[in-house]
Amino acid sequence: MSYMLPHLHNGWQVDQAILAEEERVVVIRFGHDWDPTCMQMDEILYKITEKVKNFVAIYLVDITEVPDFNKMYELYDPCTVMFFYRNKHIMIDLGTGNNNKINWALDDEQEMIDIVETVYRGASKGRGLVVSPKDYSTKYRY
Amino acid sequence: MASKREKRQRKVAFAEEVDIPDKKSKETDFTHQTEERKSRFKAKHSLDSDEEDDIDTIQQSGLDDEDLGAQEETTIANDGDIKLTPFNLEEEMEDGYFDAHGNYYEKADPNAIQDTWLEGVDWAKIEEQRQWKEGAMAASDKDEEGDAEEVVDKVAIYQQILNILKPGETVVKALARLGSSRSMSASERLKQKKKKKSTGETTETDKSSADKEEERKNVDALTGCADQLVAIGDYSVYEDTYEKIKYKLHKEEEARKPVDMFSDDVPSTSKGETSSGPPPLSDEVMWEYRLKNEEDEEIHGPFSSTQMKEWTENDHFPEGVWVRKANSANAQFYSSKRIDFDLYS
Repeated sequence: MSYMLPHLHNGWQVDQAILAEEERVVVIRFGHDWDPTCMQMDEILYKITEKVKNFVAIYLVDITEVPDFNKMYELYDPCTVMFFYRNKHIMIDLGTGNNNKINWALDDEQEMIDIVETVYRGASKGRGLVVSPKDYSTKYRY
Repeated sequence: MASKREKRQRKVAFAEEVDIPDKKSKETDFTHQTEERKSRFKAKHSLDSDEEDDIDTIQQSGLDDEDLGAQEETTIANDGDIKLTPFNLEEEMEDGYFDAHGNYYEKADPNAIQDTWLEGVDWAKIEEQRQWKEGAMAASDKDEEGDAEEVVDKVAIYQQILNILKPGETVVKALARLGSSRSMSASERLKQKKKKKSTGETTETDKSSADKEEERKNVDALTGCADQLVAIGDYSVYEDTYEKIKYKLHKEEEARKPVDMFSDDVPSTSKGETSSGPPPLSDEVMWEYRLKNEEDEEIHGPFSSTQMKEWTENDHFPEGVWVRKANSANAQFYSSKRIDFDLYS
């Protein structure tokens, strides 16, 4: 589904996407279109796009094409999803220990919607860290 | 002559010699460039266009004085009244440079005025306009106060006009009424002056002058209000009767309420769309909960976010409960410990 979502092809575009959005949360998936994890995540992201379009903008970034952020955001995983609001990175407590990003593929649409909604609500109330509704730590995952 | 030719030959020979190292230097330049790029991203991720980079590298590999060939040295600036331009490129080299291909580039002066018409542009005004437009478009913006102020103004203006108008009267008629009585009083002024002189009666004239003062104030206020409304885009205001303005005021006040509500509503309505159920009527998200995360467990609720927040804060659920938004059938339940109900109220 990655071809249905807008791609950002250079660092400038990524910066502008984050900067220009004033009212919505910007969700960026860093990874590769051909990566199976990304494919799964893109599928979920594509499905929610229409439903959350009022408060979320979703973009895809190929980390090989645009390596500018790899070091800064530590993009070493096959698939990384990060949240930004008004040029600020919004952290999210997922229970995994890494509050900066989602670095696996979700498998439930509603979970993703709930996460971005929480991010939006928290961010628009000035929070820099929000708590995801679901705990994704391993003890609940298995 | 001989020395000149020699010089020329030397030049040619030098140019040939130069050719090979020049290529090398280009290569090194290229590696240097990529290195520079890398390091730039390492330092910060500011992502300017690459144009500047290119100019730098071209400049480095550009022609220098030697490559420009035979040049005359500057001799005298002028011969009598005639200004002499020396046959060399010194002046040009000051203002710009040649790239490796011999193309001349003028140095761009960042402070130079590129477009003269831009001088007259008031950027503050443009910014103001932009904000106003944005405010008009996104009435949902809570931070946008300009829009709200404008609405408030409109209501205040209508009320002010209504205070001055009489029922059934238009603004034009009111102005005529106030203005005519004023002009009459102006013509009377002479009479009164005479009267005053002859009779020495002061109290009545004082009173009428106070009236006149008030009338003039009313005229000023009325024209001011009407002007403001016309500026906003209400062009028919002068022809509007008392009743019509009253109706407009009523409509404006009505319109104001939904606008305010709407601003808070945006997240919740958009949220309503996300959940499979219909958008909730109230601003607040409603929740339902069950004590255990099991299918046959009884579902309680719905309760408002404020209620849920209160309960969680007062340790009403020491064990935590499993919650989900009301009207979202089949959605999964989340632990109340991870939900910040404050965000949803």
